[in-house]
Amino acid sequence: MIVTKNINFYYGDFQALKNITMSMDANTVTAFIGPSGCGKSTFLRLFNRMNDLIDGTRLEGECLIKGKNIYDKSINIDALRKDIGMVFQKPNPFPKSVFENVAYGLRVNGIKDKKFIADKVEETLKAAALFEEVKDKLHKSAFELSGGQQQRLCIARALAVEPSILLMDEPASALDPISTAKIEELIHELKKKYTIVIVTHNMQQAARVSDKTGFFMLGELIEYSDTKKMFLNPDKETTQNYITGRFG
Amino acid sequence: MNKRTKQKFAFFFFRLFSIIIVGILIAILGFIAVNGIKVINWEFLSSMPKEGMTEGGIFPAIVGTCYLIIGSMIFAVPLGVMAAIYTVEYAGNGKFVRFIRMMTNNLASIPSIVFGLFGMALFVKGLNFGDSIIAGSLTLGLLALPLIIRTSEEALKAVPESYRTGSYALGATKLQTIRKVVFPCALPNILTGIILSISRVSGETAPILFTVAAYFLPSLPDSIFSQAMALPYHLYVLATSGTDIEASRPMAYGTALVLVVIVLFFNLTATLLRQKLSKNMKNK
Amino acid sequence: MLKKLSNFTIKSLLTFSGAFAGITVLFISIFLFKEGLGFFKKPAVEEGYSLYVNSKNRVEDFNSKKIKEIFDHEITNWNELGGEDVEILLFRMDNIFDYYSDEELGEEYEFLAEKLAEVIKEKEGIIAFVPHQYSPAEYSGVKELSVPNITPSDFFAGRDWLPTATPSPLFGTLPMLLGTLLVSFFAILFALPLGLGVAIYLSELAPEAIRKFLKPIIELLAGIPSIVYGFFGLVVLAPLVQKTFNLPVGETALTGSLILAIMALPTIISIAEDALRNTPRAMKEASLALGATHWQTIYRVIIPYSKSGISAAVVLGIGRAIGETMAVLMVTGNAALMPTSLFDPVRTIPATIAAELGEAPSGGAHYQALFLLGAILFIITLFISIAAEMISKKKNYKDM
Repeated sequence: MIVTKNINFYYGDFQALKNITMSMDANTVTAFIGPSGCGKSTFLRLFNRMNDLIDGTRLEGECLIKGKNIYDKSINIDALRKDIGMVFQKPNPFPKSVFENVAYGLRVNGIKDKKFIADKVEETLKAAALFEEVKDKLHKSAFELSGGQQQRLCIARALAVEPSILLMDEPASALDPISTAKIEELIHELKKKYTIVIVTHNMQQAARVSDKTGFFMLGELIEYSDTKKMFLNPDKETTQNYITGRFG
Repeated sequence: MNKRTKQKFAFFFFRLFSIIIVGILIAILGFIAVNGIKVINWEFLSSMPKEGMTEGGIFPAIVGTCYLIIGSMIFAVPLGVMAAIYTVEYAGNGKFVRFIRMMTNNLASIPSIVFGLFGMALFVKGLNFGDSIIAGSLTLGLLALPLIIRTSEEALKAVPESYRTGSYALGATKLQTIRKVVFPCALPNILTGIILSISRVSGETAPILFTVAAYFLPSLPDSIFSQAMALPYHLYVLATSGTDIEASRPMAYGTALVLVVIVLFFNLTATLLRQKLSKNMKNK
Repeated sequence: MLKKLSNFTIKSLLTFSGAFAGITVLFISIFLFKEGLGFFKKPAVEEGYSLYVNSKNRVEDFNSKKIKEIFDHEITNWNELGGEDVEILLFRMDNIFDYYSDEELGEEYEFLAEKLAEVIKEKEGIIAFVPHQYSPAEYSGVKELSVPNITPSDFFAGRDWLPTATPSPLFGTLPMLLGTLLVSFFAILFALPLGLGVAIYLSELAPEAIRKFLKPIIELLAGIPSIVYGFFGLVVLAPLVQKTFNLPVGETALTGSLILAIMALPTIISIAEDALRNTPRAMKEASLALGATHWQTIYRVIIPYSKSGISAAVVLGIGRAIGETMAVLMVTGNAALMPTSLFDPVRTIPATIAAELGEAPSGGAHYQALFLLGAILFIITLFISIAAEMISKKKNYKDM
């Protein structure tokens, strides 16, 4: 589904990613772990070209999604981002109503049919396990929801445009344990339909939700294997040290 | 129209607007500069107007503007800075302070012509100063006051709280802390605000129309109770009511340029000072 | 003890300074209203003068407008005012020499009042405009007209501003109120889309280097004195407007609006740009990540998010436009007429004050009328300032 070949990435003179080659399969959850500043978020943001927004960045290598190089000139960047949903570190709902938050992606992609939008909003809110909690306040401001609800709203918002891949950048780092558990449960459900890539700071979380795990350090991919193997019997000593909490 | 085309369309207009606006603003400055530079020489800056203000210079207007700047600042700076010290250091956050702050904002929003009316009623007529440098300075000082208060407040608030607690911990009183620690620390930023308000004061016309400005004076003012000429009013006179408007046009261009240069000089100084200060703050 | 005293002094000094701005605002309003409201105690006829008619005259209902029409020969017969069918005969002081010679009036004009009374008694249709010192009221056959004071409706709804007309000046401010609103409204209409466009360009589209260069320049331009803009408007813009639209004069409401728009732009751009840039990066990224284009993101997320900041910019722009004096004075032509189109000369409230205060005798009705205009201006801008403050404090997260 996602294949990268010899990715090097620079912020100005600083090389943030070093020669990364890896591939992620469809309908799996892949987790990226590693200490802060290791480049895992940067790597994730390559897949929907979010790094384009930062001035002075440079990319070498190839990033293929569904077999197409997404950095090719012929790529329509809006269509690409529509197909690849993203959930951010902190819940970032728009200053609009709950309903309008979910409908936003549909509207910007040119859908005007009111019935279709209403149905789709309900459907995705249900998929994000949020509908029951918010069905009475669909037209209230999204800022009235709790942090965990806001984050699930952001997930619903991403799902509404029917992406095939969902990128999650530390989606639970700003949440309390109960909300975190709900999000993790949701990831399990979503995996059936979507390819999920999740960046996390929390190793237990990676162990709980992912099928495969990649361990990053100082811009390099140190180890990439099945999550079970990674946590029980890693190949590299650095990985072992990190997982057992000797640094981080 | 698909969304990409819409975007191209919209962005095209924003770029166009920006070019137009920046173009217009630069054209205004350029127009004044090109026409003004022709008449500016030492004689223009240093001699009295002659031949019904169609020849000679604008020396008395420059001097008058300097007097007004100095006069208004003597009045507004201590008052404004003390007001800021009061609201930031003493007053806390009660109703009274909110009221004061609201009033300061309101004072800032009052049109300059209303200051002119007030200055005339209070200083010229009420206190019987007549049309004089002191009446004009006080009026302009009132106009500058909210600007000085606001920038000084921001400067004082920017002083880290730890400096104050550090000073108290050494047994200093509140007043000592303000005098020895807070004020020196905030001083550069306060200065920026003062320079900005000088720039504002030197360009104002409406407040001085009825409080100080003279159409023409044969000699320089000799006391704070005499009338004075001033650059902005002089420009107004030259542009609209000189004895021979066509013949005094070059003088008007020159006056406009001198005025713009003075105002922009103070403005630029303040901007550069502020930039330098914020850089210094970051380095700390 | 001494230390305590000096501490106390310093603290009171600081408190006084703190309160000074508030005191000033109160003082300004007191002064404006004290002078301004005295206006409504002024008689509609020029001070120091009265109007006298023949005692047979039954017309009672006078106001300044009617008096003006009589003296302008627009009303020529008393029956138009509900009196007898008698031709109106206008009489001003110099007309006395049509009836009597210098000698007959006495060396010190000591017989003037008496002679006036004789004339008035004789001519049934007369209306005489006479200073109080020569009042003929004590003689028989003469009636002094009781002229009512100027009313608020004369002031606010009056369509004629003729403050120096005799015997009855007119102080209708409607033309100025409308002129001010017209000029300010169009100024904002021009400045808002342009200013917002430039703000969007600077905050979203411009490369960092260009932004860093342009933003301070635009802010510097906000500091250029209005008199300079006015001068530019007078020598460049007015002739340009005149030529472009083929008008008899270039000093029109449109010229005023354009120059005000140019003056308001730096402020609007600067505040709006700050507001736009305050939108959290996360909002923008969330929108882009959903496949929205940059432009969709700007108008669906960034602009709604910075709505309060942008509104504050607009309101401040309006405030500046309404209160602006010198530039408008120089380019709008200053005709105190009811504005009918953008291409007519108009006159605004601040420009009226600036143009006329110097000539209005202190304490007279004209002087007070100008203070009243100042008070109106003060109230308008006070409301605008309070509105701007409330808007910029409010964060609107409700449905948009």
